[in-house]
Amino acid sequence: MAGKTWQIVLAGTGGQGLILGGVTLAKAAVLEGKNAVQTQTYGIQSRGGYSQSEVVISEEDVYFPKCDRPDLVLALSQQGYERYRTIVADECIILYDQDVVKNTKRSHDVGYPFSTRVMDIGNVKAINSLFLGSVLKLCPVVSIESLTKVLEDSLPAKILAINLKALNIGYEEIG
Amino acid sequence: MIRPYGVQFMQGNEACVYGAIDAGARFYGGYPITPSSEIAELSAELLPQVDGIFLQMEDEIGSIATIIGASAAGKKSYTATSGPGFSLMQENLGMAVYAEVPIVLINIQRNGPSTALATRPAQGDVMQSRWGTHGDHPIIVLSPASVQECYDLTVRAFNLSEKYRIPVILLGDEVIGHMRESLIIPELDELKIINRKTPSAPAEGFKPYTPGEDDIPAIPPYGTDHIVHISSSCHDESGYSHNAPQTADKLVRRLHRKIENNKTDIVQVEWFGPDDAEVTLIAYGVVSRAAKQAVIDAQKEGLSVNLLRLITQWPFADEQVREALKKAKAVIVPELNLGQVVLEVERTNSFKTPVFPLSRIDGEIILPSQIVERIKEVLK
Repeated sequence: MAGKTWQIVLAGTGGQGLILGGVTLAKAAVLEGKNAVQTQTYGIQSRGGYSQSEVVISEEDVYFPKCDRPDLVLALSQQGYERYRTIVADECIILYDQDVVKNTKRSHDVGYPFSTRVMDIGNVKAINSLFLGSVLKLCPVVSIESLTKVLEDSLPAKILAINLKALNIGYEEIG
Repeated sequence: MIRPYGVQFMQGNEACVYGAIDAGARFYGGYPITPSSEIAELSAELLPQVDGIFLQMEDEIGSIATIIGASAAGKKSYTATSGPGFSLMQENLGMAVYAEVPIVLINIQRNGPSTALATRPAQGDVMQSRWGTHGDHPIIVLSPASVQECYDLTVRAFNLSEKYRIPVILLGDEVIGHMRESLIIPELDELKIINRKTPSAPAEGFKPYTPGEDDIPAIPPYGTDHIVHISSSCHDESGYSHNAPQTADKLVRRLHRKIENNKTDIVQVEWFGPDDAEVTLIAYGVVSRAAKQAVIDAQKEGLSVNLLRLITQWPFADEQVREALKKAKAVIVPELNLGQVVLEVERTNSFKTPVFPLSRIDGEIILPSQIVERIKEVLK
């Protein structure tokens, strides 16, 4: 993995924890001694509009801070899926929420019922831990242990357990 | 306040605040505006913890007025804004230049004109930061390209402002302001902090605008034994209004001299890539990050390219740009505007070196691949 620069896009709707998710992932990389840059794109609405978070992780210096050649795009909304499906490389994984996104059956599309599963887990706000688990399984850019450590260091005790549960479900249930 | 130090992971806007406080700033007056709002937010949280003051004003005209006042009273002061807010600050920015009041103004550029794409990056304020306020005036503008530089250049902005008694603008952009990455915050005693000079002359018969040999006056803060009078009208060494033609001429020429004569101290650039290259990119801010990647990607394709990054935006790095124009076969200036720095590059071009713009104004940023494509076009 040495020298590999990973680019991960988290796309969806404002309020889904996409920016926090990107920050968590980047912090886990920094914890592992890697370089990480997290950026965001959002509209003038704080909730409800299109939102995305981008993370670039590398053992080398990261110059360009955005994802111009993503390895993985998480699409929690149709708009996020559409925005990327035609511009990414064939080998780029698009991990989409099969509850809300109608996919075009690209060769590297991976569907997962994020909306349903987060309801099962019992707290919709845990969706970012759920998708981070899935992202990590498909794109092992940091270890799940580092990510767990970042969550332990940043989340209040009362919501930590449910987020760790979501993280592990997201990780285990992706094939 | 628990001061972070060592390796940290934070946002550019946050790093600006830590830089300001470490530089000794204790007053913020502002009006929040995307994409600079985190600077106001964190300043509001931290300044009261260091016996500083955070004041939310009614608008940006009041914001810059209040930091001029606080600085004249002796506190290092700053504000942050963007787009329309920067426009509103222009009149008083000139007042601070003319009255030689040190202030730091952080402008996190967004797409324009007017409200435009409020959350998207741009570099459309380069010329406004130089010439936005009316009249002949000098200015210092610094352009960060990383979270580390958001911290370092904020400290430097205060140092230059204090040293030369001039407003310093930190001209960031939405990507740099909102980007999170690692930086190293030094121990406080490792930082070089410059404070404005204080009068050595006795209080009796004191004239606050008497310049030293360096053309910089030792204007005391309000409230000491030394008299101080600050006027936005033409003033003589007493600080009081004096409208003789020779007074006006002498003052404006001195204001320019104190910056022009110190360009070696003020102007900072970074060279990236091979010393000699066929094509030199001249870039700043977020675009310089794309340009660095483009230098590397172009090298892989056998192209000979380097980058001159402007860290000091104004005064313009004439000497370094001239060196670039002399050595390269072609110069490309990628920027998130329709061509602003490229005009300055052309102004300094006495070598007939072909100079090419590369513009983007749709709220998206210039990609490394776009720069590589432009290099190939230019070399055809």
